[in-house]
Amino acid sequence: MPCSIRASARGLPLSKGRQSTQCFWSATAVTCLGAVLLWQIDPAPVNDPYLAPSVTHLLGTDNSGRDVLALTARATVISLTVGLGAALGATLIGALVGCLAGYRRGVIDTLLMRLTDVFLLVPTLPLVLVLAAYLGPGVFNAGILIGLTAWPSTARVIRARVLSLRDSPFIVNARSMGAGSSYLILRHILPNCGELLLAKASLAVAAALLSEAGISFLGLGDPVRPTWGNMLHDALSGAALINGAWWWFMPPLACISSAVMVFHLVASALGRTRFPAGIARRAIGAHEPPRCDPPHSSTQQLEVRGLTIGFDDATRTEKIAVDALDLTVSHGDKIAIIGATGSGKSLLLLGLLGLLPGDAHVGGQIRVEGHNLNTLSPCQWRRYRGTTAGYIPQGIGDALNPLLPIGRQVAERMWVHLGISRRTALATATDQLSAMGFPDPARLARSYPHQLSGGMKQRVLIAMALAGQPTIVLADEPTKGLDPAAVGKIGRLLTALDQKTVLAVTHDLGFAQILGGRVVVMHAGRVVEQAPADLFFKAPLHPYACALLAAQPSRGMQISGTIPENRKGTTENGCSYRHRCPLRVDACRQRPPLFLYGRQRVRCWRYAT
Amino acid sequence: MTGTRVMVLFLWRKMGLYVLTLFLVCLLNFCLIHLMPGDPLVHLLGEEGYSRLDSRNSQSINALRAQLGLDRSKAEQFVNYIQKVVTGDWGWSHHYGQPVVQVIGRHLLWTLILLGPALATSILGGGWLGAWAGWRSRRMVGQWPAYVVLGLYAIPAYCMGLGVLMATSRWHWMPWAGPAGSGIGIWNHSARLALPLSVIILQGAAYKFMIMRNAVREELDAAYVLTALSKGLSDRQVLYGHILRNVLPPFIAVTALNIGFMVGGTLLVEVVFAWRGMGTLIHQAVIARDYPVLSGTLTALATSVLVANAAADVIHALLDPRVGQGVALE
Repeated sequence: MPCSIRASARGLPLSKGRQSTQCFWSATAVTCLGAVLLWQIDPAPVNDPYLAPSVTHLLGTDNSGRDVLALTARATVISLTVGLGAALGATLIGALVGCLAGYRRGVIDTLLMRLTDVFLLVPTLPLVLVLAAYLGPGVFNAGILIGLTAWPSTARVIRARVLSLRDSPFIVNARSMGAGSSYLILRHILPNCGELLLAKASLAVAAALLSEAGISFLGLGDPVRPTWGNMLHDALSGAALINGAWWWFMPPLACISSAVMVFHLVASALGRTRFPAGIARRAIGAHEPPRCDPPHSSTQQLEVRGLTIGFDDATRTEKIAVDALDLTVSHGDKIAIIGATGSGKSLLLLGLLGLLPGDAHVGGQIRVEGHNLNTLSPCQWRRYRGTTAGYIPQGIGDALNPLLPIGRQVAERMWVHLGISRRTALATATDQLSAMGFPDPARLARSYPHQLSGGMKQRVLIAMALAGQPTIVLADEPTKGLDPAAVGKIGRLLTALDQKTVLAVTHDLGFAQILGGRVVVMHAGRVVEQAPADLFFKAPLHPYACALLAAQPSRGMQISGTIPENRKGTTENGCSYRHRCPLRVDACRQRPPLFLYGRQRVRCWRYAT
Repeated sequence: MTGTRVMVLFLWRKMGLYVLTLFLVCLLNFCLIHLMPGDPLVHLLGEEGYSRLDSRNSQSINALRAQLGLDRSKAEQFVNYIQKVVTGDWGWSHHYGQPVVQVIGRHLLWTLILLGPALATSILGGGWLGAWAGWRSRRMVGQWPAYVVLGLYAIPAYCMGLGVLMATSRWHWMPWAGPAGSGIGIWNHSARLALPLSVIILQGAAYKFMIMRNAVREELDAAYVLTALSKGLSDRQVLYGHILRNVLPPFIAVTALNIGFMVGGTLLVEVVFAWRGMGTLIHQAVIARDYPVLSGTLTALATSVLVANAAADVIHALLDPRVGQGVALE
């Protein structure tokens, strides 16, 4: 039985930071070795006072003639010992309190957390100072006091981690097999807090060094055992400022600062919370403008020519998410873009909005009402998003700002782009909400997103998109996570927009059928079939589309296996579906063009004419 | 309305915590004086005063002991002590020859002159710059501003002060440091305020910058940011109108917890610049072993920090509608 408990825990995220953990321990070992070596140096007071740095005394001497370099070496050993010791104590207490509070919950949790809050509220330095004044001066008193007062922040973080771990499946699993509390805490919970504990311990060392320096600086240090703070105290009271003995100040000052910095950096390397390394983030709305192609005249409302969106991945090869996509949309079209997760359809929408992630490479051309979007200035882009293209995000999740009232979020687009006052905009927003079928729009306008259900949020988002009087409506999976009744409502709302062009990305074939209009099937970034909805649902042509329809009731429409990765300059030149296609032939190694077959367009060699 | 009631309940719970904290600080002070080994009178009078009294006659010591209630039970003494603290009788400072409350009141004022503007400037300035840095980080790949700020944060304010004093000590045309007090003009005051204030602000702002920058960066991936951008809002409108709303409540909470740390930093800076505030007071009280003053400073500083935290709670409750509706009470 214990064997299977262990096996169930094998998939834990333990190895993630093993490397940084090793770094931490080797750094500690080097520090200890250095400490032993440095301790051998004895700063004997045999020199003249206030000697400036020279060859014999690299850092000069202090007011009683001690060599500052030797003094600094010795102070470094003591300071680091005290800092590490105090941090160790604080981390142990914090881990204990956090585990107890998080694991036991109930009264113990409440009591311990109140105590933690109290400790966090009392200013630490005055507290330690007063305690140290009563206990008497001394480096080790200070260390003990710091250790006893610095644990609360660790306890808090550990408690939060334990609370979330406690109900995770592998713990519940182990508990169901009869594992005891102490076994669970020692074997399952604490190992999963390891990274966090080390990160907090590193921060605690920095804090302890600062506290100790502060206490010693105020004269509560040990005159026999110099520390960095003690050196600063001696320098200040030894008239180093007046004598211009900067060499006496600078070493402890630099030591404190660099030590604090190093331990903060170690903590961030361990925790990866404070300073994520310089990796380009996939931040939205920051991509470079698409490469321009020669102009192309058109009278269509929306025309996409050869749109290609790619990303650099870890191996520096470009991964193509949308592959040379062509799409022509005329006024009033209702288009449902369907395809499995990862087929690039949501990126297509973001591309139409100019809001692709920062590391996206974009090629091709998008023309709206004959205007080339590639040439828009940032200001024109904003105007286009505000008034021409209305984007409807997914209703589940936090697409609505949790801290702003609904009415303001719907009205914002109007007062920014339509040039009307806030008051009028809010009134119009209320009308818009009532058009979405809400019984009490005035009350709804004052409420916040957390008071709404998923279907209600989706309808609010539709009202928000329509607020700018857009001519094109771009909807991203508007029926995801909704029950059938809500899906029907959303479908009716979108089909009722006769004059507006609707482009809806969806997984939901039922919804695509309600929407009517045209169906575009995407696979691995390419359009594989385009057909009028009535024809498509009767007789799909492409083997992939047939499989999709066959698998209809399943959610997410993952049929089997994975979507092939489309990499620039590597293998994928043939049909993207050929590996799983039951009807593949040799010709499928060639990339098929879009064939016209009746009123349908299909990218499959079977329909070659 | 129930919303306001829940908000008031939230504030009451916080106030309860603050009162408990103050009570525990008083208990600690009491324990230090009365339960430490040795005669409590030594702690109250100072060793010098005690031996002076002791050498005169032991009768007056007993009389004083009865007067201070030291012959009664510990529980009775504690109740008595709390009464005294509440009514403002914090004991007698043998070093200054004055009631502790007077001594602390005078020094606390100077500390607050330093701390108040420093807090306000560092929160507003550091927070604002941090928010912009976080927003800009979507475009900039380099992280150097973050490392520069971490460098600033790593240098304790008093160390920065020492360095600055060292550098400016050659220019005697301005009184860079020294006790501010009565009798000198406004020019002298502000000149002496400039350096300590700026080092505290610099160090405090660095911390707020890091907190705010990371908070905004984490928020960039939230779906509502995409929604706001898709409405065609400008950077400024998205940052101020949408992201900051969500980032401010936790930012205020973290900042409030940091006030205690800033108080500690200010105390040390005061000692460097010989500013006549609580830091100098503690420094002298430590040297003179003036325990009533030391206990009093802890109570006074803890109270100041708690008041600041209470203010932060009120702001938090006003900014976050979820607090009013009882969603995010923890």
